[in-house]
Amino acid sequence: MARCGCGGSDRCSCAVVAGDRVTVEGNGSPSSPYVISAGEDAGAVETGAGLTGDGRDGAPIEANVSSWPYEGCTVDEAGGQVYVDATGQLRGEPRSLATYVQDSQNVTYDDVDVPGDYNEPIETRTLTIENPDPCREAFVVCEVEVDIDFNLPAGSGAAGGILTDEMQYFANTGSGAANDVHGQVTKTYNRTIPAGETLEEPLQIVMGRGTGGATYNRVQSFMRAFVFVL
Amino acid sequence: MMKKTIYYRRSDGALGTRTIEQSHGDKVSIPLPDGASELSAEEYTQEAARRAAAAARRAEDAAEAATTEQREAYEALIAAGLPEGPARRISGWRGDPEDEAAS
Repeated sequence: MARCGCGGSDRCSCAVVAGDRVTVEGNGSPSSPYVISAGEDAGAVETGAGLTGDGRDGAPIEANVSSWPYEGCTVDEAGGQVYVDATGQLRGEPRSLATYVQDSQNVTYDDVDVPGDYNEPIETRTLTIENPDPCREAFVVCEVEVDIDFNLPAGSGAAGGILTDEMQYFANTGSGAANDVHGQVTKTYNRTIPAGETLEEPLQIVMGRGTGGATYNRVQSFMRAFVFVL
Repeated sequence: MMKKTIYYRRSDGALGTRTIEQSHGDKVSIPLPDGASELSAEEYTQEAARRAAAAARRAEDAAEAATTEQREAYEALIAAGLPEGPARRISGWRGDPEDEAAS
């Protein structure tokens, strides 16, 4: 400071400039020494993107969170989590997924005799259902339909169904033939698929109680899966 | 939505078509049933029409044979002395005796 001539004069010739958020008082003379102080905004930071406060006393930096609005459970029990990814970005729980697959089949036969026993397997199909999520279990709503066309001569009867469930029976008690007699039956049920795995869901089409020359000439079937990962 | 359909003739002679629709994935693949031969859509349509016509002919022949049996039963019941009403109900025949006689 000697080179600034601060030794005995009433002011120094060196300028002291206040930086951002700093104040300088005095002129460097013995009677008015420089006093460098932090400004009023010292220590404050700008926040945004979900953060509040500026870091000073009384205004701590906090995440701008919502209050838990649900009465039936607590945030400790049911709240999701927040994570930080490899780039330092905040992330939430995995996104929900919903997929759909349908497999329909129509087979025409040249009048095949309906078997006489109960629930004889005619064909077993499978629907390939993928869980599109590599980390969470999928909940699946499955729906299947079967529609069999029977030709029923007078005095004949025939039944059809799914697996062990006979779901329809037709009998021709009249005196003439009834052709292409059919009904469409359906079942709905649920499945779960482990993370990243594939389920081969079967559909076994059965017929039985064929009497009096009953035949079938067409089997239509649908298999549908509605897959949810929530 | 992705979709694929195949057409085929099975080894037992049955004619089939199968369609898969799905909301995800890169492609849809459908294997042929064991022993089946693949058909084009046009071949399938022609074969299905041919079989439908054959089935209709069989049904028509069967209906005609059943009508003949009913008429014969009706005539036998009339010959046995039954009145026309009960003979029609029992036989199930609904034809016109005069038309049948004329033919």
